[in-house]
Amino acid sequence: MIWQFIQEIWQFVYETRQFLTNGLITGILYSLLAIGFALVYNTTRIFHMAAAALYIVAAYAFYFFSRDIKLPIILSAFFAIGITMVMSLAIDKGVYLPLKNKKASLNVVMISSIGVMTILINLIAMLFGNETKIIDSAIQAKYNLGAISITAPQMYQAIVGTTVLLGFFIFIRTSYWGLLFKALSDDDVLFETLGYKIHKTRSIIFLLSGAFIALASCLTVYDIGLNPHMGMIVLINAMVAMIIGGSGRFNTCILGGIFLGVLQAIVDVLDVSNWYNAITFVVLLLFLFWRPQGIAGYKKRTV
Amino acid sequence: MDFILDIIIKLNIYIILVLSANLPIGMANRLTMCQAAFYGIGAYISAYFLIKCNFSFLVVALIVMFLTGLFSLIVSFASSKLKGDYFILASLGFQMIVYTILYNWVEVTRGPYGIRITESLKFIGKRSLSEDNTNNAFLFISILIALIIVYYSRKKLATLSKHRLWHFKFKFKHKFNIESYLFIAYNILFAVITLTPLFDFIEHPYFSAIIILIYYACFIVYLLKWLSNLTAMSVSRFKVISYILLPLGFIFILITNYSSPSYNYKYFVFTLLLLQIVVMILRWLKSSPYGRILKAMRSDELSIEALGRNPVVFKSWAFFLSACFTALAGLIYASYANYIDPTIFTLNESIFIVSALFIGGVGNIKGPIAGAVFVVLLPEILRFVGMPDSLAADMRQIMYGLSLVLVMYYRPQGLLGETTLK
Repeated sequence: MIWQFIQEIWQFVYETRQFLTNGLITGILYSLLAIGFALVYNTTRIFHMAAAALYIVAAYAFYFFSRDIKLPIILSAFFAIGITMVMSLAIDKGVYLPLKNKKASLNVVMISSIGVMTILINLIAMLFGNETKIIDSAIQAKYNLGAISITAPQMYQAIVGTTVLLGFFIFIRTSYWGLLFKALSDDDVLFETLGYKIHKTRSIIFLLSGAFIALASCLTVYDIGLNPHMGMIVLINAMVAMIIGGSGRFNTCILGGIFLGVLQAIVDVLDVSNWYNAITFVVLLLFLFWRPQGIAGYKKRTV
Repeated sequence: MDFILDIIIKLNIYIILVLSANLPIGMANRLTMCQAAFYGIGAYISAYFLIKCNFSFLVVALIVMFLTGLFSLIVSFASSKLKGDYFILASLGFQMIVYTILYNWVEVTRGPYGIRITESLKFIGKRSLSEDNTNNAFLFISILIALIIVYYSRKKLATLSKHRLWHFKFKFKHKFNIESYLFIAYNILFAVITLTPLFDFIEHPYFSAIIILIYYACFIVYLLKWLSNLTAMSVSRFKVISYILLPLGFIFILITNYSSPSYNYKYFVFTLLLLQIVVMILRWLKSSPYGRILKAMRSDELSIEALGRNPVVFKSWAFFLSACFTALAGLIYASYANYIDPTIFTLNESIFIVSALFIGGVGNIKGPIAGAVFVVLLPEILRFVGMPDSLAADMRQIMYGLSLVLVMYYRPQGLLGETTLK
């Protein structure tokens, strides 16, 4: 019976392999953004809504360098990532740190974060206009891998995304800084008491988070175009990926992102793609009620 | 004129929205992000009742408020299970689910096409008073009788006012005190509100004139009090101002109301009355035993539990009442704008309501009102300054964000708030 079940699942996977591949690639993008959010959220407990604005900043910086200044795509992506990293650090130094020094509550910090998000997104809408824009208007090349066809942007997303995620996985597991991040997310008071430099670690966390958000943004935007109000919904999906994957850890974001991507691919297969958001959030609510720590999270870490 | 009235109607609706958001956020200490979902549910249910059923306003309002309140049980269930950021995410999820359903369930909600509401609000009495002279006389005689009754029973009313169900707390020390007369006028107003479903007064030009007169007078009293507070002198010094302003305003209002009032004017009066009722109920709620338990719960939830109260029940009531009043705002919006579609009730609207609340301040009545006034009137000032329309929308959002950040940094309790959020 189990063998039959496995066979049926294989049949389903085989029939929907195109959708599932797309879902996996979307999932990689979600995991990148989720890591960007989780880096800040797990360590400082800030509900980092301004990440949506950073996503938009990266997208428009990418657009500006590649279309208005006409730099090569890769160079402009690097510039966009750099700008977003600086912006992320600036948000920390300009808004979050002063509030933390005033001992403001986390909800107050979150509301300020919403304020920052509103300012940045609308500033960009004012500068660049509200309409949807496209970075590369040429028809993209298609690669056929067996029966699965993948467009060139999707190829970049898969390759760059997988490489970076793998790198991050190893970085968090083995490096000194990964250990520091984990320590900070465990107990920030003890972290400070034991003499580690909390401000320096925080700065690096914000820089890294900006880089991840910008990378996700550039990879997405190169494929589907950009408008200033797309950040919010993508960020919320990333948050859902983070919660589903597992709270309090970093690598679980990858799990959650890919889970969410595949889930949305299955929604696509069932031909009810209008109901994306509803299904995503129903799954989120189910997780919150039945398994609040996520698939592979630590049980004790609830805020 | 209609333009200004439109802004004020919008303002009244937003004040109701922000005040009802204050119940779970400010009083029950639960940060929710799904107020626009209740707003939308209320608007859609009321659209159904306005189009399909020939009910009067009060019946529609009660049904809509109750049904929307039932939806709030989902959120209060989530609030009983989840803590902190997880609850914020859950309420965000509820908002997104409701929006998706409103947008995609085309068979029921007509989805992105929106619903056009051709019926207007009805009150039980079908006759229009303005056409009939005998009814005019009846109106004035009834108001006169009410005035006489209220004047002779003012001592009783003064004791009643200790319960703070009334907006003003006045003491009758002097016989000819402008405040005491205002208090009497207030009571007449309340009597008229309760009679409104019976007599269809709202259609009547003089009715709206009377209400606006009373509000105008209240405004002048506030002005005098404020001036006397500012200069630390007694109110009587500034009475001269009221001698000039009152008759002038009265004459102006009577002249403008001589012809039959416009659509906006009727809704202006109507929303003002409803807002007044909501404020009165919330004021009473805040000083009632329930409100005091909420206040105690806000500072220490564990101790309330130790004293034998169940916080889940109180929080659920806060969500229920909040959803009720939000639905009332939805009803007003649906009947005023005559058109609803799901893009009004997005997550951004929720965030907007919450940021208005935080700019104004949480916990009391005047904080949310100040926030709503700030948030609605600021962009209108921008419009008068002469921003081009393409930039104005974005500029308005930027100013909200900026004021949110500045208020959170320099004054975390908001402009006029009672407490800071934990």
